[in-house]
Amino acid sequence: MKENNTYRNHTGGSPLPQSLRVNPFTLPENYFEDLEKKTLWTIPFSSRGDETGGFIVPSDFFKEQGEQIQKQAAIDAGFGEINFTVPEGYFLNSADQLIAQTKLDRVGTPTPDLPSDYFDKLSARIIHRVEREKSVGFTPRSISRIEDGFTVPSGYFDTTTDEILSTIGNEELKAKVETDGFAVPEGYFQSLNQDILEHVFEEDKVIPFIPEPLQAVRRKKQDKTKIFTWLGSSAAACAAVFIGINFYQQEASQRVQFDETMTLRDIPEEEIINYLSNNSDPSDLDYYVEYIYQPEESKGIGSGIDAKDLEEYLNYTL
Amino acid sequence: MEDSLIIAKFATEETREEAFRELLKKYQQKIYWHVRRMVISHDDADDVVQDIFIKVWRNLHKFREDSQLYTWLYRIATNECITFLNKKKQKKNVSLDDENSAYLSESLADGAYFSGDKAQMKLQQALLTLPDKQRLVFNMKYFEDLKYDEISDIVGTSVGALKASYHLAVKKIEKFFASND
Repeated sequence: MKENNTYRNHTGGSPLPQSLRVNPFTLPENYFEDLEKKTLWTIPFSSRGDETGGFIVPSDFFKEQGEQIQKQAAIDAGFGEINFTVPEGYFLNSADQLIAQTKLDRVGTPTPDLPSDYFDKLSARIIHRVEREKSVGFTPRSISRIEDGFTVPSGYFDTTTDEILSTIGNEELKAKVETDGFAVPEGYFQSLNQDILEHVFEEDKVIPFIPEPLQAVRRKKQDKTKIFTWLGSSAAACAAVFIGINFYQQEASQRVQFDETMTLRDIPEEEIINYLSNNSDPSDLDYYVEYIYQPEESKGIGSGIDAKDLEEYLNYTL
Repeated sequence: MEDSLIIAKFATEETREEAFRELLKKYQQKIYWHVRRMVISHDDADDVVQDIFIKVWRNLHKFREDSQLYTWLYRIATNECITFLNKKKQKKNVSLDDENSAYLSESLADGAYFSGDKAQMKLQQALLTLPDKQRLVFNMKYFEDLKYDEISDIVGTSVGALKASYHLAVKKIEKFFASND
């Protein structure tokens, strides 16, 4: 049968103008990209070929469903025998009552008055405070805490408790005992004054224990701060006798008055040691060593002193 | 008279005696009581105080003014007290570790020149149970009301150690009072 169509009739030329060959239809943006995703998503559901639409139910759900419905019907029938009642107009007034209760709850918790811009500035203040703490290097037990510009000595808070307790103890003790209770004879201090002056001026007229030349030697020394008095006192006894004898002979030609009845040998050794201990410099040791007689077999200065005596001296001398 | 003036006048021979008299007038009683609280006996205190001021007379020209004058005086007085107490212990053959110094307790019990009441006697007895240095620190803080800095200059111990020593002394005394009521 001859095909009855007319489209071939115009094969000699195009019947439409070129301007009409433009596709007039439009699409949403990224349509074809989204279409691919939609298609791939739809495929798992469409390939199942079942009516669940992809939803899953527990196994044996439909079998048990009938039983559960029957049970629920029995329960509902049983409820009909219990008469629950509510007050008249309960449901009508419940909404107003709930609103009133919320207002009452708010009354018990007063809100403080705050500046209007308090919360606006709060975060800035917190940040500023943190920066300030960082800049002063605050640590909980820092060496020197700075609080509003004030500092405290290191370890202050560690000892504060003891100090406070001792202050309290002190106050309680003072409440019981304020003075020591000691007394003196009447007119004692007047006579003490006189006694001391007499002693002092009498001493000044007598030849000193250590003659002048040794005092001159001492004056040449440099001022040192090392404490070797314990060595000095042990060598002082030997040095004093040796030097005293030598200078005693030189003093015979001096103008200073000399008490012939009193010699260095008459002075107790302990007095000489005490005097030199209290009036000599630690550097005197160098000069004592220079003058002291040391036999060849000597083991050295201080070797003859008992260790126990030394320890006691060190412990009980301020 | 100011201390600086005393020292300046003592340096000159013409005014030395006047300066020393002023020094005695100013510090005599303070030094006496400082010594008396340590040695207990009035007669012993008398001897020690005279020794102290003789030493002061001999050595004041050497005072370098690197501390206060009264600190220097107290230092001499303290040293003399300790030396005296040690000598007493040696003479009586008492151990230097013996804190319950029997000879001081005897002086106290003697009652000579002691006008205190029972509480004051008990306090002195409590103090005699302390080591000499601790007793010294307590006396300076409690009776003489010196500051810790001043006591530190006198005895050469740190302020922290002094505070600890004083705190312990107060506790011991409280305990003594509680156990001897």
